[in-house]
Amino acid sequence: MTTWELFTNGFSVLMDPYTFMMVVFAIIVGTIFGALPGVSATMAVALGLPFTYSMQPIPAIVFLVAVYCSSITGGSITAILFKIPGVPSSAPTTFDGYPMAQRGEAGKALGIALGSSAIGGLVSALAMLTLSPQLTQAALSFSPSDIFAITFMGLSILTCLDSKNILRTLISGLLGLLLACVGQDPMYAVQRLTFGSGELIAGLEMIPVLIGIFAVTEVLKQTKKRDKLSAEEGTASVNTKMPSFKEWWGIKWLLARCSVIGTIIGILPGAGATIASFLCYSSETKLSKYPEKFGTGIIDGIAASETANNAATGGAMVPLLSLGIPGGNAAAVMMSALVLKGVQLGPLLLVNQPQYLSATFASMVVTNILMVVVAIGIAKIFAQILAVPYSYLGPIIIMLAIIGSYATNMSIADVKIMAIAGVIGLIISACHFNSAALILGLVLGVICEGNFSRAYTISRANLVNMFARPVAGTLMAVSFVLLIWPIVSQLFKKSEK
Amino acid sequence: MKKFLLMLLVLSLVVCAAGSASAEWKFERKISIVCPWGVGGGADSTLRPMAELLKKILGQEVEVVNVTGGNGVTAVEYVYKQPADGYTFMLGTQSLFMQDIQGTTSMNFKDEFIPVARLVHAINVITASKKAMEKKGYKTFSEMREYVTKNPFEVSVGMLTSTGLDGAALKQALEGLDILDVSYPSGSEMNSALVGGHIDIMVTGTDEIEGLIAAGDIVPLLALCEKRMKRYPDVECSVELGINSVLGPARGIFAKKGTPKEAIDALVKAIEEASKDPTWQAFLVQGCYDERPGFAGPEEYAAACEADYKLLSDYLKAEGVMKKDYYAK
Amino acid sequence: MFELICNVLLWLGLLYSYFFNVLEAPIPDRTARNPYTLKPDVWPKAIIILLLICIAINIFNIIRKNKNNPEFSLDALLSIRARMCMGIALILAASFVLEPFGYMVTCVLVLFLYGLLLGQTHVIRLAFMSIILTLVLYVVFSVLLSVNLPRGTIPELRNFSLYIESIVASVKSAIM
Repeated sequence: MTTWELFTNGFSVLMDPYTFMMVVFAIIVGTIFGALPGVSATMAVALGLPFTYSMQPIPAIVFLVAVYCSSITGGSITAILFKIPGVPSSAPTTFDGYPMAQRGEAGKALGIALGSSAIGGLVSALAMLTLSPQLTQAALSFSPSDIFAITFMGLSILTCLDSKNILRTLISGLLGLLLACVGQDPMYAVQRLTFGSGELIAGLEMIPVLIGIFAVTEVLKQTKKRDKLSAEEGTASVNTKMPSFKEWWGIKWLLARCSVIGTIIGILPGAGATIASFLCYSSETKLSKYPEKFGTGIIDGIAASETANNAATGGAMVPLLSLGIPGGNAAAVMMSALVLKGVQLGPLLLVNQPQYLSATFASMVVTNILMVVVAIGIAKIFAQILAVPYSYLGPIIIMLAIIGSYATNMSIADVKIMAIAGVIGLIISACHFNSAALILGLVLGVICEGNFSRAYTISRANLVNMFARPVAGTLMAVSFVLLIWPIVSQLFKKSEK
Repeated sequence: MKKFLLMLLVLSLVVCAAGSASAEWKFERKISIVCPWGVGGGADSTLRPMAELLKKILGQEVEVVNVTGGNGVTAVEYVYKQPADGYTFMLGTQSLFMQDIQGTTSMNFKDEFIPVARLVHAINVITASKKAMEKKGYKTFSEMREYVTKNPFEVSVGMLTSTGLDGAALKQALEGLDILDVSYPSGSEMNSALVGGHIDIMVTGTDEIEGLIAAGDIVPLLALCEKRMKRYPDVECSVELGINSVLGPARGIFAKKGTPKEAIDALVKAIEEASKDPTWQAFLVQGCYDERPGFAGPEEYAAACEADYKLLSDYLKAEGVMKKDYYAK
Repeated sequence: MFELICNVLLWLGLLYSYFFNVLEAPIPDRTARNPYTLKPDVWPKAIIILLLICIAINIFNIIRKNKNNPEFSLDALLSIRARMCMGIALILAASFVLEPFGYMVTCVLVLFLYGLLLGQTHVIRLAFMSIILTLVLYVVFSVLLSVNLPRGTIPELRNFSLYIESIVASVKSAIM
């Protein structure tokens, strides 16, 4: 089949009114699920599973893909409005989205988030349709040392996150990496750093730590500020002014870069939307002409993270359809749905039944476009909550934080971790450490260590062999420059003085 | 008319009495089955179709609750905290036994939980990467073994945590050989590493890689079981080569000790009925679970668990990581 | 000063973990014998060493910067006001009572007490809203999203949760 045939074939699946209705339904529930804290994209797809029991395989995957894409987008709504990321991959969206909402620019922040989500999603859908075989080969050629190099580069950008405070940012990042080591080690399941606590055996999940450090710390800070007079006031007036075309045009290259990086990260099994959005956020900080503004509420930060996490959705579908290897947890759920229907996934699927690819593509295109309309509506409803007096809103945020950290794993331990993280968040800001860097370290730590350790064994403990590969070698060289440069340049500045 | 009403009353009473006599235990609300592994994984995708069937048979919601983390320990602790009222069960495999023996669970899993019924008993297969095979020049399991003997620490083997069931199965199959063991956090990462030729061989079930085997990217070398698999009649099996390694993941339902016996009996009955259902049978074929007898009742499953406990205790003892010795003399 | 204390405590804590908590279980024998594996303690130990160095420099920086600073005092500690301490205590308490009390009671208490803490003066309205919001959150997460919210381990409270669940189940079956 030619690409054009694939294209038309895919949309013909969606012409069926029932399937189309189901996709619209999927977009609505997907966005809401995504927006609610504690329901990750994977859980959203799993919640969608029962609806597919009575469907044919192709409409089933079309439906699940729609839920998946829209839930990733929905996560940005709560991230911007309440500093609680609805899905983990929206975590970096809070860095700039929440300050914008605080300034009363919630509408613009949401507009950027939804628009760039759609762009990222569409680019990756197109890449999936046209470049699947090439992308698959690329994904397979990534060895553990290459994946380590990618994550290491993400970490090396740490020193650029806050150029005035390199040392403290570095300490925060390292602390994050150390926290990622808590629990059973990734290779031999040996317990580390649990201090004898059974509740830490499963390690520190990113979500409770993140919700604690962001949302709960924020409420605690507000608690200090509030007095009786303001108890009846709402937090911020919600301005629904949308971003202008000029603002979009200003970030065109950012959107392009993040779409590409997001798609590639999405393809790699083990990495996914969350890693993609963190990596894009930090690399855009590095590339930006005004890195100091990141984190203070600029559209670039939101666009980077939201473009990347939606681009990763298309990426995640590539290995699933072309190899039968899911590119992430949500894709794994879709795989189990297809297997239940007797579809044999594997390299032969696309050769024999290319309509799976074309239908998935069509679903992603329709979802990414319709989703913007649906999500704006849903965001407006959520934004109403901001007008609620803080004496109601603050406690609600705390309850959402508790439920959100509990629901991921039905774990009381996670709730305790969340509460303690909230207190630690206060200490972090009192010590001028960088909470974003800490979360970055925590997110990348597990992948970084696991792949380093695998690469180390495979290359038979030979570090030179380990990085004597085109991708890994280049990336490691770049990383070292990135890591050393800010420190060196600061030293130069000092000696000039 | 009066007579008729009276008859109706008597009749309904009789029916009620008969009903309550035959069904000693009736599930009155939602039943939760805890799955220690994530949605979309092998364990979860075994449990979900079963839960769906049980729901029809028992007439109550049967809900799969995924409690992940700590290689299954989080789920064990979660179920242990729930009351043993017959409304919370959990899925378990030998991996939980291994965590128990290594002392990561706060209680003795072996004493505090009772096996209810086995759902499936899968076969582990040693598979090889086509890319790597071509490079290293072995074609069968025996040739591979020879290669490893000549070139120690050159063949890398992928598995999911080396102190897990895969590690134990592998250790038995490649006794005395020097290999590089590489653990992966998920099957998908390991599968793509194998197809890409970054690792040479791996140990897994065959369900997730059927398509890749069909396409020839992954080559099965040895099935760790008693007789050759129906699917891959050309692939040797461990017992025929004189290798004593038949460990494969057995997924079954466990209940906390103290759960009413009637509830367990009712569940076992329902599972047995569901196991005969054509949709379940079709699922077994799709998931490659039809090679070994799947369903086993409480007594049979308990005996199998006991045997595995002994075997895994020996293995972990030899590895020097045993903390709870259930067989200390 | 607060910053200095935190950094010093962190430094000492890390030093302690370096020696006593990096490995808390034995390494499997087969792994230990294989010369090409990365032992599970290497990575965390490397990070701790880097951290010890960086934090030491940071401590040095803080002392140097504040040497002649008259404001170098316990300011930060004092600025944590009573209200914030109560907030911290409330959130920590909530995370610990969630298991025994269950979702329902915890949620009502958190919404009510934290509302008071934030200066809400209409006590009756606050109490009423707390109950309503608890039910709204329950419907959204437990009924619509089938999240199993904790039922509580105290028998009376557990039975109460089960009672609510049975009402929900009967409403559900009536609708469907």
